[in-house]
Amino acid sequence: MNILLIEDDQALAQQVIAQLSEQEYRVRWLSDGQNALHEDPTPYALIVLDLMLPKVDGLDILKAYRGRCDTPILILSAKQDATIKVKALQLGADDYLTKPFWPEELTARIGARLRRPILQRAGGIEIGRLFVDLTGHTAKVDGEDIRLTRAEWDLLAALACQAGAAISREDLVEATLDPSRDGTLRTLDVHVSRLRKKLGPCSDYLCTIWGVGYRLEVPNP
Amino acid sequence: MKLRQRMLGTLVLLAIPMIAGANWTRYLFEWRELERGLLSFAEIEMIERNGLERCEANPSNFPLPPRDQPEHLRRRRERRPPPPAAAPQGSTPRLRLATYRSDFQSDNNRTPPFPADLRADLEKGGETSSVLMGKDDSVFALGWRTPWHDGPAAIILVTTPHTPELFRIPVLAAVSALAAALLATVWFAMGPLIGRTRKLAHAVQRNEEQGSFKDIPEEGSDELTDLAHAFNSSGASLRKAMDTATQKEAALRSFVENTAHDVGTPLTVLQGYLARMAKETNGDKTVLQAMEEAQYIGAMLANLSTVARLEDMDTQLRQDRVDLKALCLRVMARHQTIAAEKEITLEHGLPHGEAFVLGEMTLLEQALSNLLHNAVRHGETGGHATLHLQLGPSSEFSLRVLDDGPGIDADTLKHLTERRWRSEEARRRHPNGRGLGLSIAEDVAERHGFALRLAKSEAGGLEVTITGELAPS
Repeated sequence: MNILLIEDDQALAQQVIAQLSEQEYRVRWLSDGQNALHEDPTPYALIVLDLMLPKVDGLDILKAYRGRCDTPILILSAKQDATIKVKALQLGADDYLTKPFWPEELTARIGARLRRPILQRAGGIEIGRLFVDLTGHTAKVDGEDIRLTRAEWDLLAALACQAGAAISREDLVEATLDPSRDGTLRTLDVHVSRLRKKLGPCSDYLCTIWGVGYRLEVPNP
Repeated sequence: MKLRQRMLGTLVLLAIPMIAGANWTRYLFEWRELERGLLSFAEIEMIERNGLERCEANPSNFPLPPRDQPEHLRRRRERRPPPPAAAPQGSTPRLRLATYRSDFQSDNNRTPPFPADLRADLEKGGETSSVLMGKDDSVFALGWRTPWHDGPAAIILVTTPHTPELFRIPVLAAVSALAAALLATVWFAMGPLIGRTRKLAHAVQRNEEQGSFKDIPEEGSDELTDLAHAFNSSGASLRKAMDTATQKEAALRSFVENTAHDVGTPLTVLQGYLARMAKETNGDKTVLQAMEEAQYIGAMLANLSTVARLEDMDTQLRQDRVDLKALCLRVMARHQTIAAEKEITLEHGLPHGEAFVLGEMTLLEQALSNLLHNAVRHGETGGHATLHLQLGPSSEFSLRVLDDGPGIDADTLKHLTERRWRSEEARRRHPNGRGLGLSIAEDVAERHGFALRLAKSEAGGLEVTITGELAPS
């Protein structure tokens, strides 16, 4: 994937390029606002734009790009002032990052923007290699059916319907277990453990979130 | 008490003794006039009408029959309204004269005994004395020690049913009307004065409400004008002092903001180098410590800007729709690197639906960042720190930051919730101190109308919960 980086600080730009290259992104770097204005933003999967640039203000570049494409734009700002960030978001920026930041923080934010969306098709939800058929009450991993008990299915469906979001254990107990038949947190943990095993290669999709509950993770592309 | 009420009360308090005093003076004057009239009558009767000779010639048949009042007394009486009970209207009060020897005994058997009060006064050496006597003090009596002290007319008693009146209603009414007229005059004369005073008060009040020192109108050329002028002069001085302070404050805020900006980029580069060194040295402890310090400096920079913003009381907080979920993800990403280096598992839980609040994005982000920074900074290797956003059944949200670190004892916990970020202790950098960041978080929450609660987490660490209302959709 191609990423356009517009940043005037050479050291920072080189670090970002190195970090993104490790993640197998191809980066084109522009250090000047004037050049950035003449750049065609459409071929890029994402644009990283610093607001404080020589010659042309970052907000003007943002405005110009937004008029030409819907490419996700991540703003870099060294100012804490909310006004400029809110203005950037209002002009169509998708996210912002305040300096100082860690290289991983930048790649995480870029990854979140470029993450493959959850596909919903034919009454089902596709999450990576996992397909949850909400109509037929079945689940497939790499196209192969997996056999689930009623409680396991309810659990998987509840997590799949909110894929990417953590659901508290209490909410899962209420949504999937019968309180009159030993519907406790401990029972839930047992069901989760069995479901994880049955998911096989997709078992790492089902994450335990310490202090919260569980989440069906959407895998990185 | 209002000015008019005070003036009214003062005038009433003054008018009552004034009216009473005027009435008493009139009463004494009437008394003296009666005394003088009766004495004149006795002198005329005894000297000019030969009363003395007739008395000495035939003392047992003296006194004289009742006579009309002397002319000058009658004229005075006609000018006054008749006394209500002294005599029927139209009749003329009668004067009676009686003579006594120097021992206060009369030669005439029909003469009444000499009044004891008068006798006592005359025996003390007085020439004349007068008194009210009879039933209900209805008779005015004058005793006169004459120069003919060896004869039967050594003492003369003159009586009249006409008495001085203690309360004369027409006079009282006239004086009261005068006092009322005076009151009314003062009442209306005070009007413009009170109006100007009110205008001054309103102008001062308006300045207070608007937090400004605008000049107030200086009308007229009296003491009120002087007061307005003094207020304006003092306002000008204050305005100047405030302008200077505001300029200094703005310069300081600008300096802090610019410093944070200028340091932001090189610090990012430094963090990049440190992250690479950590990878290359496979998590060297020294590099890890350097990374922690870099993270701390970054947090301090952000906190400095946040404090400068919170201290800027001139401007209201922004009321933007802030996406809490996006904010949580940004804060999570910010601490992911340092948490990973410290082998602390950073987790988050976000609700399925939208979660927007009204507020200032960067302040809320820094408040939450401080809480997570504390959780990671004080966490132990292999520990956890979690950020959990939950939505309530109606429009409330709950944002928890919890860890399984060493936690805080109950006493410190209580102290932390009481402490404000302005305190000196909170400004100190302490290896285990959570003061400044936590205090800023509490301040930000409070300024947004949210509640911040500290508690011990189930795993023994600290659990900080922010609760509040979501923005209407």
